[in-house]
Amino acid sequence: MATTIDEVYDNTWDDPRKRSPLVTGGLDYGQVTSTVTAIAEVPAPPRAWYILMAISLCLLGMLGILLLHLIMSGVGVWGNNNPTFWGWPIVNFVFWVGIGHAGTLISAILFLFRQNWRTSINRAAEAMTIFAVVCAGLFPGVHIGRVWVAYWLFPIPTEHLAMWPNFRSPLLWDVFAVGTYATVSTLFWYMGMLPDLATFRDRAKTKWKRMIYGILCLGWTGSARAWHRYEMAYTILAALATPLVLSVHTIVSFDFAVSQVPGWHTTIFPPYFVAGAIFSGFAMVITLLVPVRSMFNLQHLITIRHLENMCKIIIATGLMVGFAYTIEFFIAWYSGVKTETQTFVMRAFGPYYWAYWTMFTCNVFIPQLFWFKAIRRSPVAMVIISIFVNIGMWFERFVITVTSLCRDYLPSSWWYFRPTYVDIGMFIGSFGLFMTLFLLFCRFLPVVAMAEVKSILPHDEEDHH
Amino acid sequence: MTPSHNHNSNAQTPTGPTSRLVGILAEFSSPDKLVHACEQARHAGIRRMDAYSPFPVHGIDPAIGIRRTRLPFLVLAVGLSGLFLAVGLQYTVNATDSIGPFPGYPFLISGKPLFSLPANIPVTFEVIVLSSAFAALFGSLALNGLPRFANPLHRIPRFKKATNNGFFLMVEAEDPNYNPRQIRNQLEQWGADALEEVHLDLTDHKLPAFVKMLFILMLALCTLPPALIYRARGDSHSLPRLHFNPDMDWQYKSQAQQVAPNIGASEDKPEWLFADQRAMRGEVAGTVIRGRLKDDAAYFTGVASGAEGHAELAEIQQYVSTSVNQDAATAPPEPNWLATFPARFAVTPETIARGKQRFDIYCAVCHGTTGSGDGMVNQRAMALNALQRANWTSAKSLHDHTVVDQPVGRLFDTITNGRGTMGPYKSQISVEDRWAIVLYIKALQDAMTDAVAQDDDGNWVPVRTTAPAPTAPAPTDTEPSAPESPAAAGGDASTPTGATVDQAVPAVANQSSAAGGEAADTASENSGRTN
Amino acid sequence: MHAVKKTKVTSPNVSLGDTGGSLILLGGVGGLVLIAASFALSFFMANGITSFLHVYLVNFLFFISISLGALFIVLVQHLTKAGWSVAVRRIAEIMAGTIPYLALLFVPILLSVIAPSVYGAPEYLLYLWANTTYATEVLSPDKVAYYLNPTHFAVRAVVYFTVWIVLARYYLNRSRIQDENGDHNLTSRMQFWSAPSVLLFAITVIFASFDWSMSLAPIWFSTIWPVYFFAGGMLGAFCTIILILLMLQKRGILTEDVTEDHYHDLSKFTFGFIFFWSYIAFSQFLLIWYANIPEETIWYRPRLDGGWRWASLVLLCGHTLIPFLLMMPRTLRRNKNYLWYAVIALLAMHWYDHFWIVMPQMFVSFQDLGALGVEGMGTPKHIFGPVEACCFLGMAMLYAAFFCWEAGDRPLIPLRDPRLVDSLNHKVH
Repeated sequence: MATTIDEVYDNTWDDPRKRSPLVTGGLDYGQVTSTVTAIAEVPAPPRAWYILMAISLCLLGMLGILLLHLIMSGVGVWGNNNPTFWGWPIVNFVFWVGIGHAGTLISAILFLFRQNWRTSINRAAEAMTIFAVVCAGLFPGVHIGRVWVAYWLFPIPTEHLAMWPNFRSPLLWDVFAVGTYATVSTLFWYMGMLPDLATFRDRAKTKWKRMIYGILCLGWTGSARAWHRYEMAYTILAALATPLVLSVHTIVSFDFAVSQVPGWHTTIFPPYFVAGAIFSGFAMVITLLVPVRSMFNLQHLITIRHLENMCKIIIATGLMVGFAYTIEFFIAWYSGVKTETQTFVMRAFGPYYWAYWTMFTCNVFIPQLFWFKAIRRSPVAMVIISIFVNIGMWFERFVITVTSLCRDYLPSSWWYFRPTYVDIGMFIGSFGLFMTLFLLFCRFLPVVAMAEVKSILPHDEEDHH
Repeated sequence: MTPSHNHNSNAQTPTGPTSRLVGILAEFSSPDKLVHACEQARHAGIRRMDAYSPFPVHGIDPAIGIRRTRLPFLVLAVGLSGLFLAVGLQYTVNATDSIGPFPGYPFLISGKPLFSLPANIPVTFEVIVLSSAFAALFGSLALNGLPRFANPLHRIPRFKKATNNGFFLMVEAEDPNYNPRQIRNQLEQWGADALEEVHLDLTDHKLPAFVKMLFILMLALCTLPPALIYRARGDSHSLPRLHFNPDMDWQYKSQAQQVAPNIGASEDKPEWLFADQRAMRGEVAGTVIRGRLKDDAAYFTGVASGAEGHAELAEIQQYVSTSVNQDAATAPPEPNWLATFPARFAVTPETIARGKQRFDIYCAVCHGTTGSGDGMVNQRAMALNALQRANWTSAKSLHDHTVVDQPVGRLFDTITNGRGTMGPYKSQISVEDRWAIVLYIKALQDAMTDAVAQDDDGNWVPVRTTAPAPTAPAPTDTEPSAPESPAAAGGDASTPTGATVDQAVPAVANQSSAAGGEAADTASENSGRTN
Repeated sequence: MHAVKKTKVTSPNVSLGDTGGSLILLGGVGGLVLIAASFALSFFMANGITSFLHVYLVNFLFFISISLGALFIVLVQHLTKAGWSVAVRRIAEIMAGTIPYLALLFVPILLSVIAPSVYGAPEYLLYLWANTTYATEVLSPDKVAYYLNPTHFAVRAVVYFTVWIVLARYYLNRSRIQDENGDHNLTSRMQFWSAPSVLLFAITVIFASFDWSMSLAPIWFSTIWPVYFFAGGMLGAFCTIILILLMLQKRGILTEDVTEDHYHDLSKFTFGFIFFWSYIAFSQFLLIWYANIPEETIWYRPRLDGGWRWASLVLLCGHTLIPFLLMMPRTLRRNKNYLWYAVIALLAMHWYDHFWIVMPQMFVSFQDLGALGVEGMGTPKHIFGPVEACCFLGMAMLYAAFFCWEAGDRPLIPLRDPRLVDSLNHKVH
């Protein structure tokens, strides 16, 4: 099969007679290895990396100071107050957990659906997932007020306390769901990394690097027997992670939906939250990978086709979210329940109309630009749209959490929630934590799953037969 | 580090005790050639071999003869254990009283059953997934014999390509069909680009010194936490504990009996939040606090109400205020005490039982569980009096004739406002419960005034001080059940209890019909909501 | 790896041939006779025509949900440019192609709604909201004026069917034209239109599910309902595709081109939708159970109290727990003999799901109307009897006849689809 120059560099052409390649530039196995390992092997990362790292560390420092302030003074430093006991911290929690859905989705669900294009992006997306879950776990962790007794959340026997967690509470389900998700995502990520860490070990130039990567890869050799069990374990983990990834945001949605607060108690919440999570997760993957691929010269591995596919998933999940907004409105009217109807009218035309319409514009209107092929293939345009999607998804959680609580059943307690500088600072600071971890990952660990990419490279079947 | 083995290393490496031949390693340039070679090797009868590749090569499993792993069964078994663990944990923790030595937590929340399966499914699911995921990862590692840091293959520089772009086949020396000379030819024939023997260095089996050091250090560090815990056992401190978060203990709020906060700019020119400078606020004129409407004087004070009810209410207030520490001579005249239980209070077995329960909590400590004035506090007080270390007033026996003769309203008032050295209990005990206690006291008195003696057959029978009732004998214990005690007292119209019970029956009927009406209202409200 | 790569269809038979014609006749005539019999028999039963219409709706929902699932499968295969499924896609296309005929079967349901307002018959036939007493006394005037009234119901149904028929026809016809001319641009066009088609499909199915099954309980509402309806339909569609393929292969059609690996993937999706349906069903139940709000629990009360409690347990075990365990092992998913039983059992459960949705509502409606003082609303008696059996068999035979009519003597595999080669050589690793 002859390939033209165009096909080597542009893999977005669409001809049903022939599959376009997933890796451009005609890279062979060795070139894939050297492209990826180069990131960690160069003596110094690009200047942009240092600049981003400096910004991230500043934000991380700010987060640390604010956390200290919060713990020393109590949660009163936040804007949360009766009746809005769930303010920004929970909004941020749901926002970050949502972002943490794309990675496992890419590596588990797309794996089960045999979507081979996942191979170039799954590693970075999984890393992003774990870091996002770390940021997510931070907020409810400090929201409990007395962080030093956070272990009460777990079923640990205590004789003097005579107390156990209440397993019928959705908040405890959350502890289990997010805890399980963080653990399984990490296992999945680590397991996928084993062969690539072995590659790093075998290319290491210094003794220390060889030893650290050697210990991390557990002595991997790439034996066929090992690969067989590895693939089986990977398939099982994917099969476990698929319902898990659904369950996590489902359970987060239960936190809201099992209650009787108008606007929260809606049966569509579980699938709607999951769709929203995937939506925001893919937007974050695009936001991160477009700069990463140009910073570390990964254009041949993370190609326009990968990015275009993610844009398509964004538009699909964006429409699902849009449908959910609409159905909620329709059913609020159809139900004839006054509080329900009033809540939704209040969302769109009440005091928080600006948040609602920001959400709607960013999540439903702006992603429609992805219907245009040119926009789906322009890295700059897709990053801008993805950032809008992330803004929109943050506002979605804000709209759900704050508008419903500020307009509960008791009109005398209605008020207008305002965040404090600690709220805002901690949210921005959480980006510092996220970015610091992600930048460290980019520098020291395999950003692309080399072994998986190699397994989907076209190999010389024709020569052989 | 031993020198690396290469093509002609046979000659250099002394065979014998220092090293052992593991097998021969052949390199191929592509995955297809590797698969082809594996198939040929298997065809040639070689069974002990393994292939190495930078990624899983499809079709290699049948070529080498790898059987399907049993990992899924392991994961299934662990997952099922997770299921039982999760359900068992949730059941024992939330639906039983104790879990081994630890107390359980059977706590009713949001009206759900203690063990409610729908609410337990999410956690069960998560635990199954978590345990299965651990089983999948660690199971596959264990089956693969990982971690394994000492592997002779890692000594071969060429083998570093196995994680990059090299494809290797190793035929093990232990294979029964292994023939050193023949296998080389065969491998070259099957398309091997390079061949290399793999030796296990038998001399190099010591751990590096720093690893040992690290291990010892870790071990030492591991003993620290238990040591610290041991040291802190039974420790006590004279200082208050460290307050991380002072807000939780010292909050900005107005407490009872405090001055209103100063909201002005300075201390010198205070501007009080409330003009009267008090933090506590009085009741708003013309309003009644929810649940505090006392519209039934008889029920709330124990004084018979009538046309002069309000006058009497004033009278009793004055009486109570002056009754403390006054002797009988100067005490004002007694108000018109209720002789029967008020209409709002239902005399039923349940209220007697409630009265007993409350009595045992609040009264029995001084008056004793039988009301004879021999409660634990009283015993201690009398013992101290005897030693002349205190001067306590003895708690009154409730079977004393002065108490027995008191009308129920007076008893109620005593509990409410206290008498002599007995303090008031109106803040601790609700009105309903106070009446229940009075009822129970009456039942106690009724039981105790009927003395018992052994008859000719040795049975305990009541010896009536008043005219004997024709009905069943009164109970011999101090806990008369309700239907019996009115029956026992039924013949004696002069005791207040008997009269009370007779009057209470219609009252109960009234109340239940009122409750029924209320229930009906609620029901109609609900049905209105569903529509 | 060393097997020869297939480049074209190798089965000796790729179309129904003569068997189709006889099935059309048998199914068409037999189906109509049985449905007529069911209708006639219902007059001798306790609830007369009401009972017939309910079970008719159960069967209609069962088959329309399967055809809609098939339509969605076709759209998604184009949307994702799937290769593996090409060999089995035509079956789904033909199943979706039966929607125009199913639209004819919708007429009795439409009549049940329109009849009371046209003939002034006040009694309750199928949809409680069509009863004027109920609509005026219980429902909010807005809801009746703008949504739950016969005219709007009919107009919406026409819109839904129009959209679905256009989509189903478009994909079936383009694919057949490609059989003849092999033009790969047709595939590109179908791919291009698949995204907007999914959008239209979603909007129509959402409201169709509200109209046709949720509105049976007119004051009840659940935003997840369309997803529930869709999940069941997808499960039914995958099972039906497997069943049809098994039947065809038994008759010597498509024997070489549809392999174990296709069955493996189809049953993987079946397994996936067993899980997805359970997830959606559980989410809906848990949220309503937990919040315990009267206007929502009214839907579950009749299904969890009394005799229906056992019926619900059957659904839980038969639709979720047992199939979940029995479809999990890989070896079973590749075993054709096993799949016969599995898909028939799953289809039975999918039918039962609709039965469980529709039937208890009849009892509730009788009670509600009785409470409003409507005459002649005694306690209905209901068991699965000849009315139900005849109605199901009749509709199933009609569906088979529709399928054969649509299939005709034309190929049952997209002969010249550019991705057919991928599908013929499909292997599940």
